[in-house]
Amino acid sequence: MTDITVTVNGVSRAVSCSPSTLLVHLLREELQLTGTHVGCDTSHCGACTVVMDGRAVKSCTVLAPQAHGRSVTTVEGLAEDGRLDPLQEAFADHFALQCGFCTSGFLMAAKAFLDTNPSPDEEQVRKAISGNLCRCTGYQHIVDAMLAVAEGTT
Amino acid sequence: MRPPDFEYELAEDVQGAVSALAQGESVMAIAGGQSLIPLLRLRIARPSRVVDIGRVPGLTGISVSDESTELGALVTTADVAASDDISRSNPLWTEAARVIADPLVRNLGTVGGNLAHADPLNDLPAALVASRGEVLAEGPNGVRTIASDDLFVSPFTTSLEPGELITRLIVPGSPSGAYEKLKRAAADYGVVAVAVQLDIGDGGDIRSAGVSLSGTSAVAPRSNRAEQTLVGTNGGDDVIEGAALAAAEDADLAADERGSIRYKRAVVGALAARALRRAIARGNG
Ligand SMILES: Cc1cc2nc3c(=O)[nH]c(=O)nc-3n(C[C@H](O)[C@H](O)[C@H](O)COP(=O)(O)OP(=O)(O)OC[C@H]3O[C@@H](n4cnc5c(N)ncnc54)[C@H](O)[C@@H]3O)c2cc1C
Ligand code: FES
Ligand code: FES
Repeated sequence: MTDITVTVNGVSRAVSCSPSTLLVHLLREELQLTGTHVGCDTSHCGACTVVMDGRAVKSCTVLAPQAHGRSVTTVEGLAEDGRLDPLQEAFADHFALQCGFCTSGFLMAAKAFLDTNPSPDEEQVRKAISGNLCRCTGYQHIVDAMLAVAEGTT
Repeated sequence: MRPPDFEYELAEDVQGAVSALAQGESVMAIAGGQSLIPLLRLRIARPSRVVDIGRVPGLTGISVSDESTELGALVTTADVAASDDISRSNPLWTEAARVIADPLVRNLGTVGGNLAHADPLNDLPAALVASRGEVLAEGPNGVRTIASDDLFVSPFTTSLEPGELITRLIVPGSPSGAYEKLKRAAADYGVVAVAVQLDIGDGGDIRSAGVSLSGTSAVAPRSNRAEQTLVGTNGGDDVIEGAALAAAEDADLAADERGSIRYKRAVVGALAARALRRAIARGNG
């Protein structure tokens, strides 16, 4: 077992777990933050995307000890005081989700991207979410939602 | 699946990592984890102990001059993709880094890990061979330099000794470089890719040429005949066509879910011509 301290959504959390634990399982099972999903076994789908130290990463492809001392934001950390983040609003307004399985991953990839690139063009937006798979929407509405946030037209 | 259990050790410096790794074959280093963790999850890799080199000081940092690009082993592929200095003095590396996997993987994957993993589908081995770069390796017997032609032995095997780590990449820079890759999907590995690095004189003459491939049976093979076709010429259309054809004919390809041998050969030829045209235009621009 290893002792790990991770700041999750602004709160410092100390956990003792096997070093082979994946960050996604630490979040879902130790911390009961089940908004982060597991969609594949091969690091391809991005359903598990979280923001670690400002960068979007696949939490299924991070060992828990690699996250020690770092700051992690999950989809549960987006809303503040019960108010949805503008990105979440935009996803709802633009029908950027259907089954919703991929949505938390897209939101976190979009969040990290827009925080560092506040006024992107469509091509940059498409590249930014190229690590996330959606089997329902065809992506266009997700792109629309992100552009709306960037343009402040939500 | 979940990774099997293993012991975990956080390396504090290169020396510590080297001595931990020299304990035996079942001890493995982890840097960004973007190749190793998928193998752990599929239980293809079963280390008894994992040594985390991800926080070793001194293995980061990008330093760029017109002559060379130097990268610490832990520099991420996202940082290479985003560096304006690299894009100015060594566009081959920018273009290769930008088509690796997807932005999420690039945020964690390191340049040292990309080379050390020696996956024939990885992109940086071909970039290293085309630009005739070298790596600094530190191991139980000290520090040595390994030239790109001596680093890759066979798929997933390098000439690194047990316990030896890549600490730094030293890559000659050239504005006349380009990388072309065909991908089926954004987050997938490529079908094939071609790396080109040229040294072009003031009169437009090609003084030296590096051409290497990703997606072949070997790791980053050098296209010798393509290089010989280019050197000493002015890189006109017929030379480009001839060099591209040579690269395609000499590529050792295998059929798989990404395409037949015939298809891949045609793609190598098309990508090589495209990369050469862009590299030559940059050199003369
Ligand atoms: C979905 C997906 C798609 C991908 N697509 C591509 C692609 O298109 N192109 C591409 O190039 N790559 C691709 N990759 C691989 C990715 O770029 C990896 O990041 C890279 O291959 C390994 O770097 P790492 O730092 O993550 O290494 P790790 O996974 O940490 O390590 C990989 C191996 O290298 C060894 N190692 C690591 N660092 C060193 C060092 N400094 N010295 C000696 N040994 C070391 C480790 O022991 C291990 O055996 C993809 C990965 C995924 C998950
Ligand atoms: S669960 Fe599919 S990439 Fe992480
Ligand atoms: S909304 Fe169903 S997978 Fe994206």
